[in-house]
Amino acid sequence: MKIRFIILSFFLLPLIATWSEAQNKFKLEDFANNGNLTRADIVRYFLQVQYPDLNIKALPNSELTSPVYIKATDGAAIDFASLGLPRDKSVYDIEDVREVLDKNKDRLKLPPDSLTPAAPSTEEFVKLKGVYLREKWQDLKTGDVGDASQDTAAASKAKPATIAFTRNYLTGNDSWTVHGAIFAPIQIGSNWIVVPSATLDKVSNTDPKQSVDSFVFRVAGARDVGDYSQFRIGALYATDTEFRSDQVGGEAEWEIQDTDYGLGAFRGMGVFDKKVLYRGQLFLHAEGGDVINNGGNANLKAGTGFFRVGPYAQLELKPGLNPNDHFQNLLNHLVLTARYQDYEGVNSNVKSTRLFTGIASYVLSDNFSINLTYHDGWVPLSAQRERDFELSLGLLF
Amino acid sequence: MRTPKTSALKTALAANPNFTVDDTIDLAVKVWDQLDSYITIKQNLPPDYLTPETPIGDIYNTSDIVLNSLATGLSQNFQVAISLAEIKTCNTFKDIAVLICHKLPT
Repeated sequence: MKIRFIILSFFLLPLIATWSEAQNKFKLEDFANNGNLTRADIVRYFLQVQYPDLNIKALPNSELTSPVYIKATDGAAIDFASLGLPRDKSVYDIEDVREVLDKNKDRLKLPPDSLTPAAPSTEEFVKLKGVYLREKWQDLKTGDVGDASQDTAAASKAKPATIAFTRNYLTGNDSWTVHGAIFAPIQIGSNWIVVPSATLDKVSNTDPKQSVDSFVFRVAGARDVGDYSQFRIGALYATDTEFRSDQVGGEAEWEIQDTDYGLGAFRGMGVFDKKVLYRGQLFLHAEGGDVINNGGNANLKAGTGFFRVGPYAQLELKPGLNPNDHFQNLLNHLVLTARYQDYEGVNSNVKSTRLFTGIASYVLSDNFSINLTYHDGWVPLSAQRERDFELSLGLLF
Repeated sequence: MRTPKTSALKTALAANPNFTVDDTIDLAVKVWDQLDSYITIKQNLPPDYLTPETPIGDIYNTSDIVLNSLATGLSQNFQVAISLAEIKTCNTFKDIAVLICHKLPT
């Protein structure tokens, strides 16, 4: 009964959200301020038409003139120039712009819906952004600014979920590992994204002490704070794949995102003449709750509370070689990752969970990769010891 | 009416490489106006005939000789070096305008 309730709750929000459109839609007024549009606002609207999967409105102005976007921005600015709006003004009334755009909508291939004034409706208030399979639920972005060496924005650069399976014919034992999260971000209004998710970390082993079995259900909210950070907060229920253990609690995270410093987007390293790209991820994590039942996990103490706080730091490196050279482009698919999570137990009786992860990935396509992963430490929440080296298939959808 | 040349803006941008979105728009507007004016006058086209989406083939024969002549004319008009090979990568006049914008600040 409990399992059914959890699974039903997990899928309830996405089902509620399906009455609205699953695809990203945008309106001209999304780019306006008090019914007015600046020249830059109109250019952003044209960029959004060109890249519907990216959140152009959230890009800082400095990014629009960066090497990644400059050609697209130039093109959008030329579209603006061709409208024939008065050149002596820098701010335009949205209705005047709408009228001009409507006359040019076929030539500029503008989505007609984007020009229609938004009716006051609850349909647009809640919007399912899709269902994703990734390494972790925090990989919310559906687009990324891509490589500094490329002109166009690439598809998502999130890390994949990984799966590996081994059959030992001598002992007749099977072992398998899964690390991944499935989640469904739902846009609530213009500021919040609510993310129901299920995260599985499973390493099966004939020795139970060496096994890892963590299954965590979350409903979290995320919103951008200022131009350079994101705040996330939510509730969680942590158990295992047989639903023997029970932990309930909450989490909060504050992530810094500044593409000028490579936090959130790959950047070329000047010292290597931009032939090596780096990307960082850095956030502060806090978690707290109660252990209701340890389910046989000696690392958890039933009837006690837990509170942990600490950083999550990750650095990725990849080559940024000439994509037109066949051999060099083969090397461009290699990504090296080093990550350290240090969630220190604040109250006594709580084990700190410190986990180092090293990954060498070879990206086969947008959806598949081969991964060589090393874990050493304690898995968050379940606090189980993990030290393994695995070759796995990466799945990213 | 003649549109202002971009050379003054080019000089200003060279002095300030950290140009803003507004600078970018200023440059694109001037480039488009000047390109529009140049092509329209040179080919004696009706006003407002040319749009950024107009295929180059709609105006010019895409033989090497004709495109080379276009590249030479644009090079002189915008005071930048535009080659035949670069013009051949452009499908529309918007592509040409972006090419010029990309060359001007450097």
